[in-house]
Amino acid sequence: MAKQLTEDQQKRISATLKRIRAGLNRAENDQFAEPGHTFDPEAQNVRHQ
Amino acid sequence: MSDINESLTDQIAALAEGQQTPLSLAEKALERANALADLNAFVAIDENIVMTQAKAATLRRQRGDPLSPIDGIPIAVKDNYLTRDYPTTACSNAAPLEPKGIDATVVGNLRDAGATIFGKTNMHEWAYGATNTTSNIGATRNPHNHDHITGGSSGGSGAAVAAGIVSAALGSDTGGSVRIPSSACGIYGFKPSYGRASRHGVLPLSWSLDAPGPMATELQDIVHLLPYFLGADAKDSSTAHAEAFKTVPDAKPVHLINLSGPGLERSSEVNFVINDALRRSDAKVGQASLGDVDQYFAAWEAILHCEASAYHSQLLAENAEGYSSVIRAHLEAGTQLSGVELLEAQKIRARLVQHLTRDLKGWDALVLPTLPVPAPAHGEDWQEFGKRKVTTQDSMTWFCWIGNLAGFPCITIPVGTSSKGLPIGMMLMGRPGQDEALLAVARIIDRSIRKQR
Repeated sequence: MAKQLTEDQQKRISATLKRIRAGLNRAENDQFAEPGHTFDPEAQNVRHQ
Repeated sequence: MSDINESLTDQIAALAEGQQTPLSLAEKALERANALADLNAFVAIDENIVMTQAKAATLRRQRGDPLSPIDGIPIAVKDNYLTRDYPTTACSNAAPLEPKGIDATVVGNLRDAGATIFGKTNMHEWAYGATNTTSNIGATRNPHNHDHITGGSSGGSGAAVAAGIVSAALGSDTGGSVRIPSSACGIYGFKPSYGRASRHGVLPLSWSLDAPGPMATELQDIVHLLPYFLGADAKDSSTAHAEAFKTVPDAKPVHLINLSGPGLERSSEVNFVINDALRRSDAKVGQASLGDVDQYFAAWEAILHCEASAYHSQLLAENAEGYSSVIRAHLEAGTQLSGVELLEAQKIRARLVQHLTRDLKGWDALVLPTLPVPAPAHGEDWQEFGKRKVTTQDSMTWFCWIGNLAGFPCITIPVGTSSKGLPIGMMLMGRPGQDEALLAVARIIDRSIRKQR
């Protein structure tokens, strides 16, 4: 069983999450925008191997 | 410092002309590594392993049958690349779970070309930080001033090249980890386009941000090394469509866009050196800002922590105490972000790529300083520049993460020094997949800077 997080670690985690969420929440809500990580089935095609 | 060191390009010529042998290069590198042990650049160097490779390379050259122009040149390897002859620790007490006794694809490519795999270099623990002060063997020291940091996470590779122990080394880059220590130590560092270079066997930090890259004494060294990085590798599906390295084209005249504005502040000293270098080049230079930098940065940070937490989930469950305190906090933060937040971050990422490729038009390369400040001193927790006060960690990744979030190729070239004699680097960012075109731009800028020194 891992030790509990220290107070310093908990503060770091809170600060990190606060910063990320503040940034993400500034995004315009464009329902048609798709995520940038494209699914590419052809990457698994054996012809490349 | 790189001006006085022998480059990989020099070594190729010296070997071809018989002025050096692989054995003499290996002996010299071992001697220098011992003399400069206080830099703490290496996790492991095994003299027997080095000399065995060098002897074999020397015999090949004596027979007139070298495997490649780099046959017998010592190259150092960051300790997150798997190597069949050295253990791989990522400079952490949480030992990697990866199989032992195999080479990362890039290491294997270099070994097949006869390079002497010289030793494993110190790094920021698990590549999860940019100062190189968090490592289970202690911090690295900057060869230009031992009181200053090298930056990271490939800090040992940066120190080893800048100090002239080796002419070239391998790094990996998730938010600048090749470019940051290269800039801070006054050498060249290249981050390939995402999907152009195989990550196989390089311990991941963040799958969709990571790229392996070379760090070297001269720009031409990078050109010699990139063929061993670029191209399709069946063991890394992100490279399925990757082209092998092509000839570097002529690229004159060059049109650059100098990015600046809110979120991209830098110290006045760094700003002066970068603008002076641009003024002295023949390039046409336009100006642009990036928009909401804080939002893009949040997306990079969200993707980084989520992917790192996913990769480390098993090891974190088994050995949380093995990680240093800060690294464990990063990993725990990643577990607390939601799937919706990660997808939002990916949407923002797509918007950045669209902005850089569609909204900004007609550029051959985007320009930023590699770092907003010269290498900070050991023990400095904060940096102040451009009315900003940020942690030293954030100051190191201040500009570099943009290239990883977009997946674009990037290079840092040394363009000057600070009033304290610390190196200042310029970062050039190219179009995705066009790594050779970026090298062509870098060559023009580099030539104009060297010519006028």
